[in-house]
Amino acid sequence: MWDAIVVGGGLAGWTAGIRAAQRGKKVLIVTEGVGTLYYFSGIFDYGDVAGLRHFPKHPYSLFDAETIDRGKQFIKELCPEYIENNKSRHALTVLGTVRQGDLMPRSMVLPDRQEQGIFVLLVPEGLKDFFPEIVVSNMAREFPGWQVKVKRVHAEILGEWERIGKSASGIDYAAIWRSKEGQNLLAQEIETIKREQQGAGSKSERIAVVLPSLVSEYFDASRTKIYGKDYSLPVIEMSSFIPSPHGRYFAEYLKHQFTDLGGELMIGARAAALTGEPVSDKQPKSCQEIIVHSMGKVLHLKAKKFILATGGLLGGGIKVGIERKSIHEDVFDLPLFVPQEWSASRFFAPQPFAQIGVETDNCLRPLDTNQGQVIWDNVHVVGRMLAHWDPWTQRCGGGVSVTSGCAAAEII
Amino acid sequence: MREIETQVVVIGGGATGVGILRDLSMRGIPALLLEQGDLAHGTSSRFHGLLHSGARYAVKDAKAAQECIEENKIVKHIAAHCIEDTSGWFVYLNEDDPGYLQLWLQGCDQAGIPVKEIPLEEAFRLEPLLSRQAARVFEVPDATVDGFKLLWANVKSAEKYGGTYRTYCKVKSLWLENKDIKGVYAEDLITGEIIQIRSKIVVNAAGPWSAEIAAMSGFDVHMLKNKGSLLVFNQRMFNRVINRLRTPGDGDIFVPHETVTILGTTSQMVDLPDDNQVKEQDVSYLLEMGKDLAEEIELHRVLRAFAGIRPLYESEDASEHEGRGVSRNFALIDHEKRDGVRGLVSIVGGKLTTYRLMAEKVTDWVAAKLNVTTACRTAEEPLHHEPPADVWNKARQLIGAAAADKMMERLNEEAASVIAAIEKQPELGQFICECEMVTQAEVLHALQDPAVHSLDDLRRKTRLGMGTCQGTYCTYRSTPMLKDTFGSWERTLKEYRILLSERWRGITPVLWGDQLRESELARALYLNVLDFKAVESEE
Repeated sequence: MWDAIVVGGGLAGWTAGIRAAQRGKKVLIVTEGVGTLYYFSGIFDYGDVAGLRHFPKHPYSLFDAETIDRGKQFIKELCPEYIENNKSRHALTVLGTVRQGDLMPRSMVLPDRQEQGIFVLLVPEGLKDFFPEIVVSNMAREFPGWQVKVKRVHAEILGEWERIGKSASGIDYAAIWRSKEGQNLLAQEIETIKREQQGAGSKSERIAVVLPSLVSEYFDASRTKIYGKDYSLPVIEMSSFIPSPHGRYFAEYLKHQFTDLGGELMIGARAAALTGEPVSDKQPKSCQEIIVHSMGKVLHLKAKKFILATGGLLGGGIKVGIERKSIHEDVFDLPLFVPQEWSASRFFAPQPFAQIGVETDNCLRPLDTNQGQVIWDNVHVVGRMLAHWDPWTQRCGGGVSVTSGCAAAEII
Repeated sequence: MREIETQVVVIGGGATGVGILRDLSMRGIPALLLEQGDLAHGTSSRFHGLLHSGARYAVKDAKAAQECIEENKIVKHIAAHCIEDTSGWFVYLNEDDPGYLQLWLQGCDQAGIPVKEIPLEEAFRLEPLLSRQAARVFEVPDATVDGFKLLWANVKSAEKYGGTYRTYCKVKSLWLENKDIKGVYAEDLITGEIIQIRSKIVVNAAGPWSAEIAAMSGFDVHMLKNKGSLLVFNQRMFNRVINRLRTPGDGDIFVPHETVTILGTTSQMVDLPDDNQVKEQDVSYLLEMGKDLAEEIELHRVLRAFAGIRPLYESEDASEHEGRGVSRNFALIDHEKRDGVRGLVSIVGGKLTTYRLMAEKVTDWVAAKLNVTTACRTAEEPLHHEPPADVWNKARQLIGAAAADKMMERLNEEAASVIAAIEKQPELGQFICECEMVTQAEVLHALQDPAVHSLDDLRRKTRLGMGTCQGTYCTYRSTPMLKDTFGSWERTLKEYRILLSERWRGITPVLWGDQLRESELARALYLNVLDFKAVESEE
């Protein structure tokens, strides 16, 4: 018997699991795959929290300011390299354009646009889906007071790939930069840049090296000891493209944090159904166990609380059948809010279907969409499974997932 | 105002128009084709891609059936690279009308369409998804045709013979003096410039827009605009064209194309020549109908829906075009005979399968007017020459057999320069589009074509954005090339938006299942990872 079983290993699920484990709870995370962290830019978007809290039924409206703040504190304690954006802080996208960063790694923070200096863009040879010329021209436009220079960096280990025209992904390069050889190569390159720039008489100017695919935030003293090299110039890392090296290492880091706290993990396991008895007709039901399919076995797992973090449409927790004749939540078969209008005619517009999800009370317990009554007393819904929000147009994906994950863990 | 002079102006860059341009050019008649959009943006790319054997018309239209089987053989010969010779099956279900089956067998026999019965057991073995309600299966020489490739091949061939064309050039009015055609006035839609084009003859081959063109002479051509909606599945469900053996109707044909399958078609009268938005009820209807031939259709992922407008011609007078060697399938309207307008001819109706025959008839008419006696050679001369074996081998060696074959079919004689570029710079062999296996070198090559004015044009030329991701990755990957071609960052972003919006139109009617997840992924990529502003994108 666990204190809580978390179904789903994405950002909200990991957050709930780790926070609960920190509070001394016995927790199991059951996850089918790796969630959608592989699309993580490295930045937690919170969006216009105050504004969104006034949106009817928006997940933020379920929480007070203190709870939202607790979520941020959780991330900052977990990843000390993350800083909160009280001032106007920004980061680079993979295209070299500038994006808002609400809760972001220190290493991504861009200098003030009013200042002057030199950016040296380090371009790893053969990096897939990375366009140095585009990045340079976008950076030059965004930072009129800065010069943007390019230096190519060649990793010996990828020599054969280069010869046959094979590209390397951001994940490939991040692995190199985390290795000892990679660290030394970077250190040398940066030292060379420093000498070249000083030789060119720009001694007094501010010089910053910009690098894609460097992932330096998830420093885990017990396992990933290699990181920690100091460079002779400040290095600004760009936010991640997909498949995301930030997502990869963040997921790994979360896993270590969780298991180090005694959390138990079941990967490649699919929660399929549940059994539970209604206490009485008037009262919400209480869930006793869930049925999990894992490695050809069917397991009945019991817990006091269950947290549903299966990631909505993209994560796979909400299945929409052909012609939308069937739309259902996959584990508890919870009632869903389904918008009347399904899509907007413009691709980049807010899409009504994005609002699909489970409506909950302030304790994140699922509600019957007609009666508004709590259905399950000990089931809590978090992250993208919640209804009435759109992470992409409201830019609050990280914020809602972290806040709801943390809040659910506090109830366990 | 710019002035251009030629002998013949052809209006319309669909299959018929480019077929006419090629035929005229091969007979040495100077001609200019004008197209208001990109080549093949209309009906010629908005159909199921079936090269008819004629069997579909064997009962209701013997003449059309005969024309189809003859043209089927010709097109397979002259445009082998645009054809996949899949063969087609006509499937007779338990519930179908035995009387029709007999009529159909007789009709095929009379039209000269070879029919071979396939034993049921073998049929189920060869096409496992075929409905178990099938009672008898007959094989005919149907095939599949790539409308884009066919059009480009015709244009390239016409250019070799001196033919010229202008895309994004819209005819604004006919230039008439005392009911004599003197040419046309057209607007270059890219520059806004008005062009006066002097010609002896104007050919109206504007498909669904031909009534609008004819009306510029002051006379009506009675055209019906009939919308046909189709679905694209992301798998090759069948290896042959699968028809239902009954009176041709809605949702009764599956056509495999490379890695996808198209299910067609609906039939609905519309008012506008570009009313090609598919509605959700059309999709439901097609799926319901399609179930008769493929019972498990609902298990398959629908990538998108699209629609084309069939330009149907209804003659006011049946005797009007009798005795001119033109079937009921299509009609050649001599506006001098009909309306007293000299030098104007309209070619209306017809099928893509018979595009060459239609072009031949029109060109015969034009040649007679201009006293040109050169005979038509389009039935014999292939559209292009096979690239030499060493180019094929080199291509396969550099980018793999599957990708090389696709590329060679798209590029033919132009492939050599693309291969050379990849050989010199191996990274140019990386795929921009992993679904359709389009390399960076091929995209660069296509962008050099002066007729490519937008990312959407590039899509038609290369098939970029036509695969499973529907433009999500390949649009992003073409960023540096787009910026080099189109100049500014703002323009590049605009091209992204136009292409993704165009793809979105086809996705919204089928927004469920994996396609819905894919759409969320695309939104995550553009709105979050790449930080495109949702508000800015609302134009």
